[in-house]
Amino acid sequence: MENNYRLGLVRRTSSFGRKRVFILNEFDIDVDAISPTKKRSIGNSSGSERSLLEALPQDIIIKVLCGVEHDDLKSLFHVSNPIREATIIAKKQHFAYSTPKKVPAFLCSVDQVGLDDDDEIEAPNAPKQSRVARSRLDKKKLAGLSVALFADNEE
Amino acid sequence: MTSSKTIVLRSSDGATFEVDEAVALHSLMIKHRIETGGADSTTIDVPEVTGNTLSKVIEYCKKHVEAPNSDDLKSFDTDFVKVDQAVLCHLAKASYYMNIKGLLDLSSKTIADMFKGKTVEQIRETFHIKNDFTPEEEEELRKENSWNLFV
Repeated sequence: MENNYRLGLVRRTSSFGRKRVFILNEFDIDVDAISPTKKRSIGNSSGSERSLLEALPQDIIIKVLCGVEHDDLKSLFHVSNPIREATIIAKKQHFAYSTPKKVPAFLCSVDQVGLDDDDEIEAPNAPKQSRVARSRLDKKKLAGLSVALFADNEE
Repeated sequence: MTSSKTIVLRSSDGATFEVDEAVALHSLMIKHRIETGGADSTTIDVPEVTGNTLSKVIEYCKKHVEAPNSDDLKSFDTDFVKVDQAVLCHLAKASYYMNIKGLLDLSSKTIADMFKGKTVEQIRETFHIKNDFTPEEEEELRKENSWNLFV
């Protein structure tokens, strides 16, 4: 039984446990050779029905996940590899363009500190940054930006 | 586009459906095929969609083209997606390939709503998803930090 998977390159800032991510194609991979009856063939009915959801083009899965609330995204993260992949991408897209309704899990203590600092030194005419954009910025970069703004204003 | 011209749509399994051109044009993919295909584009193949699903897609397009302002459009949509997850996935895929935004939005949102409040196991069960994590990976994923790593 040959394994039918391929390594995919994904853009991410941190690797998960330094493990390679296997991007599944539409067939299961029997990495553990759990059961000899679980074949890759779609025609096999003794195994579970093929997951239609995972077989969808990733664009659709991501679109679906963009409509999912944060708490449910967390559950989806644990469902399977393909869903997890899509969840990660959806999360990044989601928070790039909209303010999340429930944010606590995504603002760690460092971000909180960064936000507070910004509020204190924000220039009066500076355009308001969205919370989301702010939380994704590195604290050092943010400090550098703020300094540059002030240098212009003071002159 | 007031002509009574009809278009024949042919599914992956050879089923054919004759529809008003106006209805067919609700699919931007078909619209493009017609516009670029010239006078002979009266039969259009839709190889990504089976007959069963295409039939439903056409039903959706018909309603939205022929009665876009009807009061019952919303309830039509609600009832339209009261189907099992398999049909929903087929509809999402069909609307994606046929470029029917309304239907793609509707089916995607319906699938998204099906995840609400479900546990991991319940999601797997509903959608027949196999757990493909190794025990080691599962253990790592359970740690609270792993979720935040991908922020």
